[in-house]
Amino acid sequence: MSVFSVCLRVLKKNLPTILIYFFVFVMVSSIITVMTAPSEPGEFEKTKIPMAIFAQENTPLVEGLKESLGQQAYFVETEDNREKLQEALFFRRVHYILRIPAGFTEAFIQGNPIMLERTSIPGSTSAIYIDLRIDRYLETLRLYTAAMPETGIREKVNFVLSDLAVETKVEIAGSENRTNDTGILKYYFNFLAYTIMFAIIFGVSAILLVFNDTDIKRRNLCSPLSSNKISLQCFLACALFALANWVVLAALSAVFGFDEIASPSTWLYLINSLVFTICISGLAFFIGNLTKSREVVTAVANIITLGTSFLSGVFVPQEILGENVLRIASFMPTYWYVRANGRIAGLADLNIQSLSDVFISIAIQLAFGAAFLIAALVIGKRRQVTAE
Amino acid sequence: MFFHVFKYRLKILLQDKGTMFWTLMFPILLATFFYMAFGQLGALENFNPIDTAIVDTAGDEAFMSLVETLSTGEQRLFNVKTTSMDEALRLLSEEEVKGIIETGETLSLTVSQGGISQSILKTFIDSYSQTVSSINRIAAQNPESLQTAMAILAEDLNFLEELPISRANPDSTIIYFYSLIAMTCLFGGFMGMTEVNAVQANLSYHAARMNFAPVHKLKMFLSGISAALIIQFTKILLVLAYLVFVLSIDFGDRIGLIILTIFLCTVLGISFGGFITSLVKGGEGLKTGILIAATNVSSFLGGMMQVEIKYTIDTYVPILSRINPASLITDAFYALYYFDTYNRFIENISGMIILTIIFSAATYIVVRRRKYVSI
Repeated sequence: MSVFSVCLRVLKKNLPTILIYFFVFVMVSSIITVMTAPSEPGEFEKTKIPMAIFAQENTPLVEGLKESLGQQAYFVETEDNREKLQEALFFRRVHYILRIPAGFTEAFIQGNPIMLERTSIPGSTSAIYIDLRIDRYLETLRLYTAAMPETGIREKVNFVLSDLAVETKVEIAGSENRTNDTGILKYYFNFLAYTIMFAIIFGVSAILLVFNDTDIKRRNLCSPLSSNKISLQCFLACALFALANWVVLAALSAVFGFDEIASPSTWLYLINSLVFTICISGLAFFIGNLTKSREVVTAVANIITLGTSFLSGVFVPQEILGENVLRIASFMPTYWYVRANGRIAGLADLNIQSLSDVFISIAIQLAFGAAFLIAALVIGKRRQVTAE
Repeated sequence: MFFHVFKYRLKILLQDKGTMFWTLMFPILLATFFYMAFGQLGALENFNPIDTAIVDTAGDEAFMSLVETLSTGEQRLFNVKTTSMDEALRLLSEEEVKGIIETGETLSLTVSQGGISQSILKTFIDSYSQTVSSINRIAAQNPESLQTAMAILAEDLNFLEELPISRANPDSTIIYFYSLIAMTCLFGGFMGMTEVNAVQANLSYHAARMNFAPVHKLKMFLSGISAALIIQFTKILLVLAYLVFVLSIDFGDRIGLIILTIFLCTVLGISFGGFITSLVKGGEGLKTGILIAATNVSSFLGGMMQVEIKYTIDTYVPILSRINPASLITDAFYALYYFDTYNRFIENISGMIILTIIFSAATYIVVRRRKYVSI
């Protein structure tokens, strides 16, 4: 096993660099996992939009409006400064800014209301959502103003608020089958694709760069060890390295999904990521056989990892990506890996239909892995012929 | 002599494939990935009529005609399919519709998950029941004005007017592209590093030879830096052209100032590389590593991986955005694009100039007058 141990020594030498990347990736993936994972409520809750209100008068009408909006929005305290507001809107800290001019209440009661000024994200759904609520409140109030002119404004506002509190019950279809999984593991495992891909391509190429050096190759060819055995040991070392990466990352998943260890979907995630690891090892073997210098490896590893991750839905969910992008992405194993993760997360209960979809995705990854490996071996063989 | 050195530095830099890749090809590829991945992100916020299934169990004509009005025309709220319950549930599970409204004694809503479209559906059917509640109250308390109330209901008044806040569309995905330019500028630091290496006799054989030449060292250094500047400036303009003309990223219309900013950040990027090279004592590998790490951290803080990070830092640790080169560059483009005043842009530009002076001074202190008896 001399070749095998040399491979391990090469890896050991490259360990500091690999560890730095690994550590950074794990940090970033933890931050992103925590930031993006939504909590799925078992009961329907209305979406709340961040908004800012600047009222130049304080009347029962205005108070009532705020209270009524409170069900659909939360109010962001912010300074009434044009640039600050522009910036808050740009970065979506507020989606909607409402200004109530002085004298609005008076004019409203008189029956010829002045306009409220709103600033929203043009054409957005959130704007329509808040508009609906404001219209609802003011129209109902106008109804009472016209129909019950004797009643005081405060009482009318109370009528409106109690009317607006009438709610329909919403049913969530299929909620009885749902497990209590938070869905956080999906995000963790999706991001794992990025980390593991970079680490494996980088590490495996480091080994192959050494062995593919023409002089060393010539030297190895006249050793009593057959070239097949050399390749095999080399491949074993690469596989061991890949597996080690997977074990570390899989163990880390327990940090995020400790409560879900017993859940069957956790095991499916693990199987899926293991298959992906195998597939990427094949890809890394292929790249390692193609490239000749360290710089090229860094460039290729970056481009392939970033490119496939962006297009396959590691950073941006697949549902948001355009159809054309997904069509291109389906030629990449990462796409199938992320797709399987999505299906696993969507498994309300373990029925055959969705499970078979997961397994098809996994099988496609295996096919990719095999194709990469074969391509790598073919190239390796041809290289060997030219070296001789 | 200045032009002689300049010419050869130009040739050498143009043949440096590694730097060419990181400062030209890599940004263009990354921009393409950004474009493909974030292309739909802006459209996600835009309102599209909500696909809704309606199961008219009770044969509620009044409600159906209201739905009809709301689902026709350009400004419609819904796209409606009237079907049976089984079919509706199938559509819901296949995500063809966002929710199912069933008529009956009361209206009911079935959805598969929460979300803003579902909330709008709920707001809509709530409002239907709420109006019923209002009318009942009026009928009970003041029955003679029921007629007036009905007339009011039929009217459609608008209480809101839009007050646009900026000259530009608040599309935050452009920050990714702005910070990409910032990253490219900082990668230009490789060229600053190459230039320092080319004149410091202890850093390369090439420099040791150059130091024999009867040329003033500063002159030699400046001609090298000028070559680097011209190449890097051209490359960033190419990246900009790719973003603007191929990917149609909106940079606003202040073209002169945009090009000025690009020039200033080119200088900043190159001096940044010189600064790191002079600061770090160690081999070229270590210097490259630190330069890459510094660029990545700087771009990360400038919002290249997550736009929210830029806002968070701007708001809570403003001092960090004032000294972080990538934040300054990104923010300068953002200020030009989004704000109508120039205050913020001028702040950023001043910050960039101050940083450039500091970086250049540090580089100068290291590079000047270093002589070696033997190496």
